[in-house]
Amino acid sequence: MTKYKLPIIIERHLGETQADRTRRALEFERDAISERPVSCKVGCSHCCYYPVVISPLEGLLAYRWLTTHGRWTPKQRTLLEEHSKLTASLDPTVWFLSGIACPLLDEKTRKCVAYEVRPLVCRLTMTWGMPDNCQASQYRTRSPLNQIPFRSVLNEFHKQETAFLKTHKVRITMLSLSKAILFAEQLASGSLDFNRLDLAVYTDYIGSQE
Amino acid sequence: MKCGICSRESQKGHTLKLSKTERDYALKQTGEKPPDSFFYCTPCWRILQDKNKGAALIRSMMEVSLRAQGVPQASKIAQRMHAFLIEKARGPQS
Repeated sequence: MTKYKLPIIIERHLGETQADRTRRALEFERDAISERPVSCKVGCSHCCYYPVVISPLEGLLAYRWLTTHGRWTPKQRTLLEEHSKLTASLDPTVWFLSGIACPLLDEKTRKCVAYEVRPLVCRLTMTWGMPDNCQASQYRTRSPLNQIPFRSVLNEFHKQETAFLKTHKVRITMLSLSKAILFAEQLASGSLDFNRLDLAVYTDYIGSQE
Repeated sequence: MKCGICSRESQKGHTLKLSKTERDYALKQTGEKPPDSFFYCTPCWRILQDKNKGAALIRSMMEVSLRAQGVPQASKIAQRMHAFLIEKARGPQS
């Protein structure tokens, strides 16, 4: 059994984050579907090539799930590291146009390997329009119906996370998904303290500029 | 210096200088004198160096630009460019 080394207050907040995230996603989904059916289908995965930034807390939830469900393999870790190096400090538009797949996307089945614990931004990304209009090549020209607006829901969630992280002296509250999960590995193992996360992220950033 | 891809100002990156042959070719094709060098910030250069991601980036940028100009065959033209770049990146086949 994995021995978690996070402070109890963080452990408790992770549980609350998970519950809050699920509630927000279900409410959003219920409201979106009540207007008209969403046209998303299993195996589409166009949105899995979008830049995804999440908080260290969502990174911890993803890391925990991957380890307890036997998905934290050397191959998965390598994919996360490669993704992290490739996307370090990358402009979001360039990221979007470069066809960089999410490291949690199984490119053979076109499914998310961590679907049950996917970040809130992924849960809120849905479309009423043509699924093909979600492709990067349709950027700036696609129908406005394509992405159901979710920014207000996401911003509200991030505001809460940011407030919590600031009480633990963490100011860098958003990281790329791969970086968030890789730092979560260090946080969960106890090799990195929460209040030293900013310094670790900054050091990593400086390294990525070389 | 401003990155030629993302337009962000950056101190570190990679500068590509055109050879005389390349400058003359660009002048002949476009009728305009090309810049002596092109600067790319480190993150964008990392993408351009990756054969697949770099080609995908150029393809997408081309398609977005062509669509914005109302070119009806934007997708096909961009796909042909993508295939060309992938073939060039593969290098000479013996």
